Amino acid sequence: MERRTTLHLGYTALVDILLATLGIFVVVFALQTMKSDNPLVPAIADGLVICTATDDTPEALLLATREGSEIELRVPIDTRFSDVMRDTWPDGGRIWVAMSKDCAFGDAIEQLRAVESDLRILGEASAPYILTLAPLALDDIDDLIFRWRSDR
Amino acid sequence: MSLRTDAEAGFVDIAANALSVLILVTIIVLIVSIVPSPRGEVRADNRPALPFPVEIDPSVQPFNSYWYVTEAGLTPIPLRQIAQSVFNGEKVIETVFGKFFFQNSRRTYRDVAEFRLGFVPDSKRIAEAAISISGEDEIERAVDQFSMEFEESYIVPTFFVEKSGFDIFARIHSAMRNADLPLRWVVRRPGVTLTIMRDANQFETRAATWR
Repeated sequence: MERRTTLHLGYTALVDILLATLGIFVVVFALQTMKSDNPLVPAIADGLVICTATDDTPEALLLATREGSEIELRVPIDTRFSDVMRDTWPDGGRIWVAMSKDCAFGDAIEQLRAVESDLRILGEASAPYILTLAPLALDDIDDLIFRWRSDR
Repeated sequence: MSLRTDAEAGFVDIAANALSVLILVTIIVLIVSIVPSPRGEVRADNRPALPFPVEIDPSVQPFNSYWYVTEAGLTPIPLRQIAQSVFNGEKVIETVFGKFFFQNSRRTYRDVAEFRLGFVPDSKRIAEAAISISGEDEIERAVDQFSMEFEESYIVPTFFVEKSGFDIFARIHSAMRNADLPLRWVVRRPGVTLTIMRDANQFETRAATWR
C-alpha cells in the first residue's frame, strides 16, 4: 500500500510540472500575440537652451520641465554655465542647444563646447548629458519653443 | 517489484526536474532576448515635434562630402580634383575656390588615409560657384541628394558655414534633422584656415559617446 502511495505521489508531481510547462508556453504565446510592434521614432529633447548674444554678451534661455511644470531661466554663458546645466537637469538628458548667428560666431560657441566636454566627465554615469548644437535663425525662436512645448 | 517501483519513481523525479529546468530556461531566454531599442529612439506611435537627432556610429566618419555655405547657397568642395593634383605631384594646390596645402610635419607618415590638408577659402569666388538654395523646393532637392548619398554610400556631408550663409544653413540643418540625416557643421570665421584631416583613428576606433 505504501509503495502504491509513493508511486501515486510521484506521478502527481510529474503531471503538475507538465501542466505548469504547458501553461508557461500558453502564456508566452498569448503575450506575443497581444504585443503590438510600435515603430521606432527619435526621442524627444529633454531640455532646450537658446543662445543669443547682445552686444557680444552671450546669454542663454533654458527651458526645462520639472514635476510637470515648465521652468524658464535666463543666465549668462560663462564659466559657471555647466553648473547651471547640472542644476537645471540633475538627472541628465538630451539637450537641444540652439545658437543664433552672433552666438555661433562669437566666443559663446567655444564656451558651449567646453560645457559639453565638462558634462561628459566620467563619474556621473548615472546622469549622462548629450548635447546637440544646432543653428537658429532669430525668426525661428518662437517656432522652436512651440515645437518643444508640443512634446511635453 | 520494489526495484521496479523505485525505478519508476526515479524516472518520474528525473522527468519532473527536467521539465522544471525547461521552464526556467524558457523564462531566462525570454528575458535575455528582449530586443533593446537603439539609444536615442523610442517605440511610439507619433514622431515628436522636436525630434532629438539620432547620431550615427562615428565609425562611418571617413567618408564625407564637404560643402561651403554662403548667402549665395551651397558650394561643393572638389576634393577629387585636389586629390588628382596631389597625385600629379603638386603640394600647394590653387583652385578657383581657394588654396589647399598640406600641413603635415616632415616626419609625419602621410598617405591617402593619413593627412592634414589646410584650406584657405576664397569666399567671393565660392559664392559665385554656389548652387542657389533660396526656396523650400531647392532645400528639399538638396536634402534628397544627401539622403541618397547616405543610403547608397554612407557619405555624410560636412558643412563649412560663413556668417552670411548662417540663416540659409539653419533651414538646411532643420530639414536634414527632420529627415533623420547625419551631418557635421563648423563655422568659418574670417581669416581662419580650415583643416580637412584624415587619420588611422577614424578608421580604427569608435568614439566613446553616450548615444
